[in-house]
Amino acid sequence: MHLESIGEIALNEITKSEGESKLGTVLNVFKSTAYIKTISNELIILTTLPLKSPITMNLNYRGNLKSVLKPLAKIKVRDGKLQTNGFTASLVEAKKYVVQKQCLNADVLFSILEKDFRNILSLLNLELYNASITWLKTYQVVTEKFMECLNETKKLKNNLQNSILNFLTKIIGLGPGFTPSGDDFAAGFLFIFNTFSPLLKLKKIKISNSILFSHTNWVSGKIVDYIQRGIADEVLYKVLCCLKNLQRNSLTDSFLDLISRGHTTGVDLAMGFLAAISFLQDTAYNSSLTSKLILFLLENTKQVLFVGGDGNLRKLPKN
Amino acid sequence: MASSSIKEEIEKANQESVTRMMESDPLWVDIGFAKKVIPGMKDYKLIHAGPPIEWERMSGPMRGAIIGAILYEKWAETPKEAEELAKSGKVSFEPNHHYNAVGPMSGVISPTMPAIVLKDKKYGNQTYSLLNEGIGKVLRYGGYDKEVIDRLNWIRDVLGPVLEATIKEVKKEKEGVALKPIMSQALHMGDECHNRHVAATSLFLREIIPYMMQTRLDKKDLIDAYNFMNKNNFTFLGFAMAAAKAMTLAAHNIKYSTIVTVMSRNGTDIGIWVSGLGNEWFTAPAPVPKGVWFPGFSEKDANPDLGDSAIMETAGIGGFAMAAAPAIVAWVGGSVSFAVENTKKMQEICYTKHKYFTIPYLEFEGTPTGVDIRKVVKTGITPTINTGIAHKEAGIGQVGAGIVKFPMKMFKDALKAFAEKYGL
Repeated sequence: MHLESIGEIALNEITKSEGESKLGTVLNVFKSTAYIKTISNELIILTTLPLKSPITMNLNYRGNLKSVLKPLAKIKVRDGKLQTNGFTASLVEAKKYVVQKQCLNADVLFSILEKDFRNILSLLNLELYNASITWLKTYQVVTEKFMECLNETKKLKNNLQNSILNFLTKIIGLGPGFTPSGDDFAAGFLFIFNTFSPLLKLKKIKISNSILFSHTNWVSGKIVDYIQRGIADEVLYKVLCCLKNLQRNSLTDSFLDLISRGHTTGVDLAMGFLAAISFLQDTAYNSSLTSKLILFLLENTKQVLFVGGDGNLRKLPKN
Repeated sequence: MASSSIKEEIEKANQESVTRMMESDPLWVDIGFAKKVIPGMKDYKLIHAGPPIEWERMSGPMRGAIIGAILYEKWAETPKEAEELAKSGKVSFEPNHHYNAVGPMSGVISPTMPAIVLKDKKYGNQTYSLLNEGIGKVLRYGGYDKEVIDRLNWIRDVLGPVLEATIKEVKKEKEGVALKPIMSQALHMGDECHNRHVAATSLFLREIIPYMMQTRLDKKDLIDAYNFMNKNNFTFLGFAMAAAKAMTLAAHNIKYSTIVTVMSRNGTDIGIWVSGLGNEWFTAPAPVPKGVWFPGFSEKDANPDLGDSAIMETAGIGGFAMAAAPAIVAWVGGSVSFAVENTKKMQEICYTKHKYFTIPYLEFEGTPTGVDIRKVVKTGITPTINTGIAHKEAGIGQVGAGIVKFPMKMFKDALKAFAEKYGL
């Protein structure tokens, strides 16, 4: 077993841990991904998937990670190898993954055509054909809070950041998933907002660590924190680059790559992206993308639900 | 239309698509020269496997098969002349699927090749395919030397007429030879009905031999025809492919349906059709299969994948039914556990399980049926199919058999087109 690539931050953690008794502790293990908390409080993602990021180590292994790694195992680096009980992976052949940072430095605000925006929403719609009740309920809350936020920002033009921060804080930890849907939405929103907001002379928004780690689990909180600071994986960077370079065809493609990720993570991130995109574009050009997004969210979350005889929310049965 | 009702429309359409696919009832009803039985087929037209392609972009085996077909039709005397004619634009090339026809590997059908005719008893469609030439150096793998042409001539002059007389005898008693029961039974006898037709060929011969014997044709011809078909484990392939085409055609052109109704390769490109998107091709470069090689050959000899035969997987069998055919792994590679795993994996991207095609080893579970582009994009799993492997140069033929995984690009492109056509 060997590592094929290591992101910059992960490599830095490995270098720092040389001579230490351990690199960190395995927190969670899934079939293809494990999460490691390092001694300096960083998150490293060890994965058998090809997706790269500054905090990811990509492992050349086809089996189930659960059979070789256990939660709470201490992991260390010795003799060029990542080691823990019953698990060894060589670091020698690993290539350093470096982010192409030019897309993070946006100099012109995007202007998305309404047709493209609608197409991306249509793809999301197709993706949501089997959404769970929990997810739909989560997005009812997200939609409601987002609408409140929009109304507030219209009234308080000088205090946009607070309204948005307030909105995002309310959805952290909300919804299903190891990384809750609310976390993914917030991360997606802030990734776009913080990249482009300086162009509108708006300050970047940062959800504080105290809020993150009290509202959601440590791994998800760390991921939100990285993403809000512009540290993301290559799929997110691809969307950003397409936005920045106004590549119409590639933009839809990049969203499709994003949407198909995980159970709902990709959809949630994409929702956050679209919320930020529509908000920024409407603010800059007085367009009406946010209303289209809200309409989409309302249609997707309300029409398929009804209150059953027992008072519980249910999905409409299929014919 | 509100977004939630689009989902309901898709659900209804997909249900209709897969129901039609499963309820289709193809019968073998006729055989004759392609130009007589396939509407639109004519002299100086060759139809081929996969999406549309022009001579300049054709792979070695596709070019070899085109050269062979031109020699067979006597439109040229030598391979060089045949190549010149193919380049000249005087011969037109079109995909088989545009004619409701299918052919394995290069799939080239020329005007005087005997074409099998199937009729879907349930939905009325007619579909077409070719008689199988056997394995090794054959036209469909790009072979075009004398041995190949002589065999094609014999198929035209002896095997075709024997089968034509046979089907006439069949039709004195019934509407035709029902193929779905043969395929269904073959799945219970160790075939997956794409790269393994051992049982299906035997069952088919058992069905038609009594009628062959009633034809009063020359005894030698009958014996030669029987021996040729009996020795060739792929005799049933053409019939199975035309049957699968009938099934998938029945599922095609259903508004709002996200079910794939064609998956096909021409040795350069691979392409799909989606029911709700009509005859629009979504293509990507054809991948090279991973396989088991004939003696003296290796992966470096292999051409990218080709053939209309992925119609079998499109209809829910072939690679999707590998768990029914553990012995197939000796032919295409992999392991028995891989075969079982593949069937289970394909279920993740299919809309339903087949009502009539079942797998004894999986407690008679239906085979994964109706590839749904939404599920492919969502899961990141693309169809895995069984295939033959052609040499990359024209004139050499088959060099192995194996497994090929379809690229994601065309499914994504199809989903984007679907969103654009039916979107918000």
